[in-house]
Amino acid sequence: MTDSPVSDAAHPAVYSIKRHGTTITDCDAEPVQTPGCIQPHGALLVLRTADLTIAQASENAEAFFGRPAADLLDLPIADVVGADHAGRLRAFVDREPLEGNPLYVLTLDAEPEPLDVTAHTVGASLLLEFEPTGRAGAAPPNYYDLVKRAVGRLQAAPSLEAFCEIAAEEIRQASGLDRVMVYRFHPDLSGEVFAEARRDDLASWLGLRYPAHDIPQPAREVFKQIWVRPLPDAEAAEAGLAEMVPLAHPDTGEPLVMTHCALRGPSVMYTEYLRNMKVAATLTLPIRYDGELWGLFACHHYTPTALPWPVRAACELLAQVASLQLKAAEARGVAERRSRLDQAHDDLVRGAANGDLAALLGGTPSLMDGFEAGGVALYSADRWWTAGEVPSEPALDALVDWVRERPELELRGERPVYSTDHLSAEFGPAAAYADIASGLLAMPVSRSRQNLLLWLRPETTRTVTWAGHPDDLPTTPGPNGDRLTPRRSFELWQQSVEGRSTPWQPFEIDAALRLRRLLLDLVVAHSEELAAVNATLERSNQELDAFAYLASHDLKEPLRGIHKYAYQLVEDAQASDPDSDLMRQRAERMVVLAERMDDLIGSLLDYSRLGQLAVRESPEDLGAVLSEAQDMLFASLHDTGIEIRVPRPLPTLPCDRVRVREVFTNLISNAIKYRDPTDNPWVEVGYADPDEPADRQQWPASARDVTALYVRDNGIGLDPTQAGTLFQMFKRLHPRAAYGGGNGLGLAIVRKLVEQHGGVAWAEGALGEGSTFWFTLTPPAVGS
Amino acid sequence: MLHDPCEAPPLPLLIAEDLDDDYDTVAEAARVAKVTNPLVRIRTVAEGRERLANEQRYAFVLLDVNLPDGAGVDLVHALRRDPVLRTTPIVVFSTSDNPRDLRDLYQAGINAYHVKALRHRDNLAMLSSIFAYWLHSVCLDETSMSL
Repeated sequence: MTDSPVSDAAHPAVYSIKRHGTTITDCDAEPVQTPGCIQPHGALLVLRTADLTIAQASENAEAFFGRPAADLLDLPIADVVGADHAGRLRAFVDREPLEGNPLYVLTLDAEPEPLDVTAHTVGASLLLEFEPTGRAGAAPPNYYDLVKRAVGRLQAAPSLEAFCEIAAEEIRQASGLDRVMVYRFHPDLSGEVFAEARRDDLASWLGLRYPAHDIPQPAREVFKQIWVRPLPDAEAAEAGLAEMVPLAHPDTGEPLVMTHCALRGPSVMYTEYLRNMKVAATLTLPIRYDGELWGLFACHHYTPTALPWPVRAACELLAQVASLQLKAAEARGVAERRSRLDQAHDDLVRGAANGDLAALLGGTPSLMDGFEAGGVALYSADRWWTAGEVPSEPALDALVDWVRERPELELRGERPVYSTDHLSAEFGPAAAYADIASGLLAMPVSRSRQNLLLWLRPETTRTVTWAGHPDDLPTTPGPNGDRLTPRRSFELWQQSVEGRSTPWQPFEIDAALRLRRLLLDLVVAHSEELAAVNATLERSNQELDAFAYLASHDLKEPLRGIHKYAYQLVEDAQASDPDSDLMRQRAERMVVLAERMDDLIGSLLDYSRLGQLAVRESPEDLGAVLSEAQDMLFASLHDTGIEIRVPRPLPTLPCDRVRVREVFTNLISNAIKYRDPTDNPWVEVGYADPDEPADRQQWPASARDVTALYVRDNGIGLDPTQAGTLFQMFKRLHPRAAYGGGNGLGLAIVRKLVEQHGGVAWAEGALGEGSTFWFTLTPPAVGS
Repeated sequence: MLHDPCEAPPLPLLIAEDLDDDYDTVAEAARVAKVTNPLVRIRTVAEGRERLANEQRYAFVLLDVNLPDGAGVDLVHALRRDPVLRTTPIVVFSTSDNPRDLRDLYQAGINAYHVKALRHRDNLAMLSSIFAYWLHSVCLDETSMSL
């Protein structure tokens, strides 16, 4: 809390704190810039700059100059300070830029102690302030050494906090005051004691918070104009204000603008506030950043003191140095935090290099490191992964549904990130968990908005506590009640930040976006890796097919020779000794074996060739395709008397006609081979649409949402435990000679043909109860 | 003055076959079918190219496509570029039933493609019908064949 100078035209020109101050109850209404009074420890003479005659004098002039104020009016200044000083003053005024810029001019010998004279102009008036030199004999500080040391220390500060602490220490050393606080304004203009240097026996006020209106806008504006605001004895100032004589300027009738006066009388609110805290003296200096008021050095002293101009000048210089260095310090601090954050993120992403986003949440470092977040939640792969303190999953679900619709997350934008420090104001249901999630920083971590990463910040009031013991603070409420106490300020501040978190800093948002890019790169790299693996697999498959083709081709040539000579052996054996069967039988056996091997090799060739021809899909009437397959199997169907039943017309599906015909012939051949001759064998071909009831839970997942076809028989059936191995190459469930001696490739070919359509094949059945071979020709819907 | 084709000595057959067993089968089939044309055997693509330089004409070419030094399709291309042999029938007799081989060879300009069977008897029968067809049934362009 500080006094708030306001130039308010609505107030009468003849305002004086001394006469009217106690009637003011609103800080904003107090015309502090024209208080009409000064602090009584010094005297003020207002001269006409043109001829240096006295226009106004403070009513306490007699104590300093031996003559009542009224007697001084219209006298030349030489009558007060002597001709020599008047001459020097004239030269000084003509030489120096004094408008709104008080400068020390001279020291006037006076009793009981010398008076320092500072001068500045306000329009046509020259304001001379006379203050006791105080701390008699003390030499003015060595400004060069002061600045050199301060700059050196400030430049070495690794963070903004350290920087402010050093600045506070330097100012405390220069001023000798009990407590120096760096009071920092937040974006919402509330304030915080950000750094502090204090007498060892004092309790720390570090972290204290104040609502924005404790330092109203007009006060902040004035601190953009002045560099120092001393109040060396608040109690004396409150009790013994010295009014200007006359109160208005005799030539213009205007009130005296005292903005730059060191002696300017303080606001009654301010002095009451200080009295409540038992603070006897204050010195306030601005910290400016790019022309804006970043904060204040608020210095408190618990006994009345003197703040003569050399002390003020030293502090002023330090405040200016600190202001100039602040930008660099903040940049250093941000760079430091930013680099810590980036480092943590790099480590995280390295840890999740296998593309598993969930790995980001467990272990160290975690996503919370670096961000001052209370919780973090990742929605990925249709579930939540959380760390720290987060709302319930249903609450998170509702929140993420809402966040996904934020226009800020527009993915085409450069910065698809949503942040707020007042979530419940944006999204009502968040009020229920404002204590743990008042701040939200959200961003998508996939190409769609499906997967989101949320950082949550708790409500600020939960994170801020009194560093000391607020109830121990020496407060005695004055006439305005406990409004003017830090305790009450803190309560008001608490109300003002209800439902709010500390705001997200730009560098934090930048770091989050960088993390997002890293994660996306990671995901992309991962999918590229997958694509590379797929390409390699594809190549291996092709090579395998080519190998199988060449190998079986080359195998056929010697086989033909073996068959030929075995055949000739059979003929020779018959010719030489028609009665001896043994040699002929052995040679015949060789012929049979060579023929079986040829059949196997032929099937292998067929199988390998499946991968070599492109799948050509077009809508095909599967009934017609089945008819073609029946034509091809005419001989064996006729021989076995097997009837093919089609309970209802088969659908039309996009597929490769030749391949599906091959599927039907293989499955029907299979059914013929494994028929049960004792029964009346039949084969049924049909289908089930996705909306039709079927035992889909038992089916392969990729078949559940598409049309499935089947070939069913009443043959010998199969052992359900072996249904899975049926489709492997050369897998046979029966001895070679039994059931027509299949070569073990038919179902492997069926599976490959079906898979080439993006479908899947599987078998159902039980021993002695027939088999059903299912297949689909449609890839499962994307995303299911 | 026209030659009497019946009096002229029959043109040789060019047999491209690297496997002795299979060549024996061809020779046996020719003997059984009483083919009087001389059989000229080559084992490699390189040998085939040398033959082209002789400007010798052939009744037809029987070609196994998998030769040790290259693909038979290269020989087909060479034959089809040769001024003397570009209309000579080329009959493929191959182990391969790979559709790609069929496509490539027909596109290169062969006249027929037969897949070798496993059974010796089947191969003899097939070769017999090849000889019967290409030596007796079919009418060829005599003008270019006789220069």
